[in-house]
Amino acid sequence: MRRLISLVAIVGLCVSACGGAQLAVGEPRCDSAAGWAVLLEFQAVPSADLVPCFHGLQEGWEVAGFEARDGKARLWFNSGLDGSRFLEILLEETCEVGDAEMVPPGRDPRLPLASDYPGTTRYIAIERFTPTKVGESGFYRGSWFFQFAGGCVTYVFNAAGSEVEGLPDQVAEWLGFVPRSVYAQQLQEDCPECSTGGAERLTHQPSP
Amino acid sequence: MNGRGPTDRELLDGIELGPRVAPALEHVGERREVRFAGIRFGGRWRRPSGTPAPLPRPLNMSGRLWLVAAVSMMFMWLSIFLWPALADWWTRRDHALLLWLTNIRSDAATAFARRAQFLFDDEARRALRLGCVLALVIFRRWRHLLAALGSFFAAGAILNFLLPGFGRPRPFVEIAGRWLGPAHPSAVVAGLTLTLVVAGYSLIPEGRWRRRWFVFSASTIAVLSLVQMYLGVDHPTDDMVGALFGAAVGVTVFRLFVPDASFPISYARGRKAHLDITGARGAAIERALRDQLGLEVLETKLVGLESSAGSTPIRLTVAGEGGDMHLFAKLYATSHLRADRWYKLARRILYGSLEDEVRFASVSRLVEYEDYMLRIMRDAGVPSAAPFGIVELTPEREYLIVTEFFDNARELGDSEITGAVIDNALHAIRRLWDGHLAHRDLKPANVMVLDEAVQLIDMAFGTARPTPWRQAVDLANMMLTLALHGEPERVYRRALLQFAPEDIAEAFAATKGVTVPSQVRHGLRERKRRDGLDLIEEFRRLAPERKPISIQRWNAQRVRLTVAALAAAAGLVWLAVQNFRGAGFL
Repeated sequence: MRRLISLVAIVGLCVSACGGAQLAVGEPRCDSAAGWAVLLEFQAVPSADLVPCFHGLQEGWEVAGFEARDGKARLWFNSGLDGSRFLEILLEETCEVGDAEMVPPGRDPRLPLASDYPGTTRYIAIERFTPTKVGESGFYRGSWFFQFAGGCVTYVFNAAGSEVEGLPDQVAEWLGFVPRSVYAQQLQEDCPECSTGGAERLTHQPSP
Repeated sequence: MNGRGPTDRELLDGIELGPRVAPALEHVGERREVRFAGIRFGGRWRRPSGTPAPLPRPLNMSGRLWLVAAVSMMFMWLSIFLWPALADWWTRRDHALLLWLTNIRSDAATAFARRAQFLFDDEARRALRLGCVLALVIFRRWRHLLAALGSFFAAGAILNFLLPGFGRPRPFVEIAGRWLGPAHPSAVVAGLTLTLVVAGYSLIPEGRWRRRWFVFSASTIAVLSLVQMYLGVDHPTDDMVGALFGAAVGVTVFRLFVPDASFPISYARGRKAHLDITGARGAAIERALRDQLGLEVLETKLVGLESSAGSTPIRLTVAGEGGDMHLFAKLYATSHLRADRWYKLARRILYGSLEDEVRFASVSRLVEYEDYMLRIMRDAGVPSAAPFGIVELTPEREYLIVTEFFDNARELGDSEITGAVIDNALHAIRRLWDGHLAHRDLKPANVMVLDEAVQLIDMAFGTARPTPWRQAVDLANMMLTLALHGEPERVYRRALLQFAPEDIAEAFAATKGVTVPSQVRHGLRERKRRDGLDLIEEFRRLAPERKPISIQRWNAQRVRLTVAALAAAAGLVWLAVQNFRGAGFL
C-alpha cells in the first residue's frame, strides 16, 4: 500500500512538474494607457481593429485567467454568484457564428451594450436561459459574437446561479473594447522607433 | 627592581613538570614518531595560516562564470526597475537587433525556423522532462529525482511571478513564430535550459562527458534563441535572461542539495548514498591523516555500508610496528549534517521532545560531539573503540573521526549467542547505566563480537545524563537484539543477573515501534513470521506487569513545527496544483 501511495505521488509530481508553466494572469483593462495584457492581445491577432477589455469588475467577479498567444487571446472570469468560469472571452481573427441571430446595429434590449462600436456586426445565440426561481438556480448559456475588421470576439456564457437575469446588463456595463488607435498612440509614446520596424499591422489605424 | 620581567626561558625553567609529563615533552620538537597500541604515529604538522586545507573548496572557473552571470542578470533586472531610461535603452538595443534579423528573413529560413520551434513546445519539454525523470526512477536516484522535480517546480513558480511582474509585450516587429504569454524572461528558453541542465547534473557523471553535454546544451540554446529572435518572438534580452535564469535555478538546486562531492553520479553497482573516497578526496584523506595524525595510509576502503546512513564508514590500512594494521574512520560532510537535521526534525514532529533532539550547527560540532561521546564512553568503561582524534579535510564541511578497528570481529547478528556473549552485552548496558550514559542506537550492526567479548560501536547518537526512559529503552533494545536469533527466556534469565525484574519491566513498558531501531524491527518481523513469536510481548510476559510508558510529548515547539510543516506541505500541494493547471490537467 505504501509503495502504491509513493508511486502515485511520484507519478503525480512528475506529471505536474513536467508540464508547462502556469499561465500568467493578466488584466486587459480598458484604460486609456494600454497595459501589457492589451498589447499582447493586439499582438496575438495583429489584424484586429478592436480587442476585448474590461472597465472594472462587478462585485463577486474575478479574473480567473488570461492567455495570449499567436492567433488567439482568451480571458475568463469566475463569480461567486454565477459560477466558476461563467464567462470566457475569446479573440480570434475569424469566428464561426453558426446559427446565431444577427442583431441590428443600435441599442437592442436583448444585447444591451453600454457603448456601440462602429464597424461591429453582432450575433447572439442563447442555448439556455432559465430565470432563477426560489430554491433553484437559473442558467444562462450561449454566445455573443462581435465581428469587425480583422477580428472577431466571442463571449461564451456558462452561468449557473442566483443572478443570471442581471448578467447581460452587468456584462454590458463592465466589458468593452480597446480600439487600435489607443495602442498605436501608446506605442508612439513608449517606443517611437518601433513603429518604423515592420510593425505596420500593429500601428495601422482602424478601418472606417 | 630593574623593571625587567623574567624571560620566557626563565619562566619555563620555573615550571615544575610532573614526572609523567616531563619525559614525554622532552625534545618534542625534534621527535617525529610516537607509538601507541602498536600503531606508529609519525610527526604531526600544524597547518600554517594561509595554507590550503587538504580538500580545499575553491570557487572554480565555472563557479566564477556563474557568479558573473548572476550578478549581470540581477544588475539588468534592477536597472529596469530603478532607471526607466535604462529600460528604454535596452528596448532600443533589442529592437535594433531584431530589425536587422527580420530584414534578412527569407521564406525558406522562416519555414525552417518555425519547424525548429517545436523544441520549445510543451510536448517536447514534457517528453524531455519525463524521459529524465524516468531514467532517474530506473536508476533509483531518488535525491536527484527530488532535486529535478524541485527545480522544475521552483522555476515554474518564480516564472509565474516574474512574467506578469515584468509584463513585457512581444517585440514590436512582425512576429512570424509561435508564442505564449508575456515575453520577459523567455519562459520557453528558461524551461529548455533548465531541463538540459537538470539532465546534465542528474544523469551524466562529473567530468569530460558532462562538460561536453553542457557545451552542447549551451550551443543548442544559443541557436534556438537566435531562431526565436529571427521569428520576432523574443527580444534578445528575454532569451539571454531566460537562459541564465533556467541555468541558475538548475545549478543552484543541484549544487546546494545534491552536490557531486556528496552524491556523485555513478553507474557502478553499490550504494550511492555515501561519499566517494577516491580521486581528490581519497588523496586528501591520505594527506590529512599523514599531516594531522602522522599516519601512513596504505589503503582506504568503504566498509559496513549496509547499516550506515549517517556517515561514510572507512577502513584504513596503516603502517604499524608489526606490519600493516587497520583503523576505522567515519567521514562526515554537510550532507550528513543535513540528514541529521531532517531526522531530528521529523522526530520532533512525530514524537515531541522525547530527549535531546537539538540539531548541530555545523559539521565540526557534529564530529566533536561524537568524539566526545567516544571518550566519555571509554572513561565510563563501556566497551567501545578507542578514539584517535578528528581529522579536518575541508574546514566546516568535511571531517574524519578515527578510531580503533576491531579486526576479525563480527556483528552480533552473525555471531553465536553464547551465555558469555549475553552477559558481556548486558554488562555493556550496565556500564552505560552506571556511567549515566545512553547509546540510543543499539542494534545487531552496532554490537561487535570477538571471542565472546562485546564492543559497542557508533556512538553518534549517544548522550550523557539521559532520561530514565531512554536508559530503559537501551536495555530493551539490547535484549531484543540478543533474542533475535535465540531464546528470549534465556536472555531474560541472564539479564536478571545484572538487572532487577522491575528494570526489565520498565524497559519493555517504554518500548514502542519508534524506540526500536529499524534493523531490530525488521528482525522482530522476521522472527514473528518464522515461528510466530512476538519478542516484545514475550519479554513483557516474563517481566513483572507494568503500565506502558507514554512516548508522546507535546509542547509549544512541537505545535509550531507541526504547523510549519503542514504549511510547507500545503505550499507544495498548491505549487503542484498550479503546475497541473498550467499543464492543462485541471
